Amino acid sequence: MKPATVATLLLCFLLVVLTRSAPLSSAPPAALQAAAERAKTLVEKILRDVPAVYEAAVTMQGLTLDPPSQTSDLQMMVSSLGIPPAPVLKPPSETFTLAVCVTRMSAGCQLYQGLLGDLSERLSGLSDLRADLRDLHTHINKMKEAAHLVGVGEGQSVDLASRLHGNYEVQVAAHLTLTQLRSFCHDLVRSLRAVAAYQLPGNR
Amino acid sequence: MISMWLSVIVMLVAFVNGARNEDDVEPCAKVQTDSSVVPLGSPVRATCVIRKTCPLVVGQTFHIEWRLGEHLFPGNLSANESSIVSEVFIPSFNHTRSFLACWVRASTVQVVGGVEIRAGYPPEAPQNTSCQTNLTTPNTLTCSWDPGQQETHLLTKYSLHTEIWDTNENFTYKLPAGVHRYIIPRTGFGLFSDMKIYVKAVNELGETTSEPIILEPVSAAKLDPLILKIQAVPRRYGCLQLSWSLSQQQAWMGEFRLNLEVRLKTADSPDWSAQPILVNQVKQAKAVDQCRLRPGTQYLAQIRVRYQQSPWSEWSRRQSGVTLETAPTGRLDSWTKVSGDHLHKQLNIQLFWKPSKQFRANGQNVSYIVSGKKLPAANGKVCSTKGNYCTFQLPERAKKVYLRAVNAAGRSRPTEVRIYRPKDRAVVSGVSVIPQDDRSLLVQWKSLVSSTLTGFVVEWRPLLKTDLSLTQFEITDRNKTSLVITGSFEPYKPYGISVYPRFKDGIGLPQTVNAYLRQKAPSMVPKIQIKKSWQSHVELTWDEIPLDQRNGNIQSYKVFYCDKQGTINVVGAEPEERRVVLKGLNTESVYEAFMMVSTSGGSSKGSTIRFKIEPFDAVAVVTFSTVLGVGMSFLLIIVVMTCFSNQKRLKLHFWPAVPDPANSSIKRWTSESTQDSHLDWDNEEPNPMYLSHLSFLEFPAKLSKKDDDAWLSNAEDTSDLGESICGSPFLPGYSGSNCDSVPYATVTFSGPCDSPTPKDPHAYLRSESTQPLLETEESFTPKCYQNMATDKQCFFGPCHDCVPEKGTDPRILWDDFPFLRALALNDSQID
Repeated sequence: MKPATVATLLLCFLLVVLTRSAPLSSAPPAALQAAAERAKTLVEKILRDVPAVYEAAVTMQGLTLDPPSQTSDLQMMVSSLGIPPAPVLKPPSETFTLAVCVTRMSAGCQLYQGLLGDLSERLSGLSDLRADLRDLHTHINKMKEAAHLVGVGEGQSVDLASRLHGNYEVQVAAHLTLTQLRSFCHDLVRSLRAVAAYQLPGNR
Repeated sequence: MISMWLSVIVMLVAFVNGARNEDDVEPCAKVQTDSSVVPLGSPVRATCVIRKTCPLVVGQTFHIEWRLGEHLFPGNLSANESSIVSEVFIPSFNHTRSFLACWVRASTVQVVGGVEIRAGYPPEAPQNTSCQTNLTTPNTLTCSWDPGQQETHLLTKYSLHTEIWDTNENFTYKLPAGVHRYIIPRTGFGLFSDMKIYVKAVNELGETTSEPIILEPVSAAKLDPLILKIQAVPRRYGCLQLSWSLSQQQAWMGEFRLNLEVRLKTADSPDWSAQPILVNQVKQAKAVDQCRLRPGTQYLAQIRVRYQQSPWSEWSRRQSGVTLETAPTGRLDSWTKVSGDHLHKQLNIQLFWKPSKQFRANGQNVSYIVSGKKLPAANGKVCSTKGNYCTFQLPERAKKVYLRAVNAAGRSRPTEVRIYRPKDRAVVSGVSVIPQDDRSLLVQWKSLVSSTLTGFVVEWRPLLKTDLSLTQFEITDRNKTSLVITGSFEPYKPYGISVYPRFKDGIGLPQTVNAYLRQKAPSMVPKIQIKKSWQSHVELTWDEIPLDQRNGNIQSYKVFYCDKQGTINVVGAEPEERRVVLKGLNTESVYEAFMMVSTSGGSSKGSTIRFKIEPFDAVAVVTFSTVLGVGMSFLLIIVVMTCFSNQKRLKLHFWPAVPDPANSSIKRWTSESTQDSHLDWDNEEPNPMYLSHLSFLEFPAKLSKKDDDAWLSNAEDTSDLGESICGSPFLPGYSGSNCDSVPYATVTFSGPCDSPTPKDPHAYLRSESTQPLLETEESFTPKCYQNMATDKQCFFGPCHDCVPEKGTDPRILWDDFPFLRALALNDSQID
């Protein structure tokens, strides 16, 4: 084989290699990853703490966390207490962008932070969980900053305190809040794992 | 002092009230100072402003003075339109708290005002601020600090300040006075949010702030790890794999990369490895491998962790694991005791062994095989055991055996054990044992120089246990004369320690001592018993103290004894003796005695016994009886000898000689015997003759006629008497009733025979007897022969009742009875 041919082939090979190794999308910044990691750790902590908190706070017979009580029976109570459903989370994708995902995470944290705040006035043992949610919210906000996700709307606020007329309502509200929080945290773990592995759209 | 000041204040208030009553608006004076709290030792300036309308100063000469406690201070006086002002300057205020009062001295002395002044120091900046996160339930952050060394003398308040940067939240926690520690609740910190923490100290002289610390609370957490499992790794010899995690409450930190340290030790080792093994950046899920460990060995492990710069956790609870086994390696140290059985031409062997420093069992279940052949073969095996000794027999010609260690993975190389015969050579002496500490004893000995001596074997075993496996040994070279033996020695228990000399060709005679790690007083004291006593001595004995109750080497037995007067005496006995003799005892005293037994660890006192020395004990009685018997025997012999040598004199003394009437003439007898009879009476010499027999009969004063007749007519009575005398078997001429007839006379008295001279005339009775009279050499004691129960018979004695009837011529009588003539002579002599 002629040297020129060899050189040409080698050049073509290098071009191919260089072309293939060029980033199609960029890895998430370290700050985002670190914040996501911290957030995930906190979510896992919340998930471990929820059963103990539930056991201390919800003492009404018929309400259980494991297995979860029939939520269909409590639909009327959900609506009368005005507890909204947790924000729906999905792994970030082109249709469900990272900004939306993180915003919903933040909204969910705010929602449950507020609900636990209202319940803390009537029940003891919820403050640590609420502080964990506060920390989680902080780190989700750090994710926002790391990913430059600005201008996304904040979550809704709920006035639960005014609807807690009696202990029955308090117990049901605590049950619903903790059950929904646990479910939301499971979604959060999955989403945060996806965020950590998410490839930010890059320049081709 | 306090009461004085209280009274001053009361007066002050009363005065001010009084002034108010008069003026109704303002007090008479007012005392002011720049500051009521000043640095200790700083100057103080105060003014006393007195109204000119104050009654104390109106129209009077007055003087203003200042008093600080007991001290007087002059004031500078000045005046303006409405008031008089006195100013005082105290250059150095050295009290932590004092009252400064303004006094007006006029016609009376009055306090017009005062002020309290306190002094101290501004607070020092708090030192050594530190915080630690507690991740158990509830999560908290505990911060503490040192307040500083200097006493401020003022109330100093501390507050803890936090600034959470992520959320821009600031918190201030105020603490009670004297508290230098605060627990921040979970709401006061974010686990992953950096925060600034500092302490502020404030008092009336100022405030200071500590050096701030910046921390992420999760990085300040003291974690709580635990080892889940330790297991051997297949086909990796000398390795163990540790699985671990954090506690349940901290398990959420599983994804954190932590620093981990492992420390290990073998199960039989008291100490952990000096340098823990550090494993950096490890997650909980990942097991940690530890290699370069001994095969087949049980290890104990502990771990501790920390996150970034957080404090190390405490060491976890220990867990154990066993590495994979390999065949044992290294040699065994052995000690052989041989005794010969010449009858069967065999040797009795006791073989003890222990691991050498190089020996490694490399397995958990190690057993030992003793065989007579170097190569492993079943037919050469003489012993197999899991213990540390073996007893077996070998033929006399056997010179060596082989010892191997065996485990599940294989067997070690054989250790050759030479069979040394016992030698009758003793070179070891003076063995002594000194306790060193709770686990060791120092054994020392002396040795004679011997060219064939190669070393020594020190063997020890507990004497209260018979299990041979408890026998331990140590082998030393010939230059050593001391050895520290270490083991689990129990205090107060005896151990037999023997030192054997080792020669080139055998084992010499040992010297053995009993030793104790620690000694104390014996648990029991033997009861003392009196074995025997003689004269003023008592021998006391006692039984030996059982070995398990001695608690030490018996140093001495001492017997204390005292009499009633309380005089105490002590007699000691050597440890090997079990008797003492108490001497010089008084036979009239009761003695009390007790025993005291001593070891080097203490003494015990036994029960008290009482005893008394008998004045005539068995020995004394026997001795006395023997001496007395011998003495009496001698005396008897002397008497008998004397009797034989003076036979005649004695006979005459005790038995008076009675002359033979046949060979006697009354005339001659009478004429000669009158004088002799006198001599007899005076000299108590025996009368050589005169009468064959003389009986004295006492008749009652009023004897009836009938009785007299009966008595007089009864000639048989005297005949009996005569016969009884005549028939004495002691007489050489005794011939029964065939002796020649001899005439006798019986003199009968009416009064008692021992009465003085009778007044009534005697009665004489004549009789004859064919029986011979007594010979002088015969000992015969005449009896007071009685014919009647109430009367005495007096032979040959005058008796008034026997006097012949009146009118009878007495001469006729004398003619008929020539002997009675002599009596008549005697009567006249007596009269």
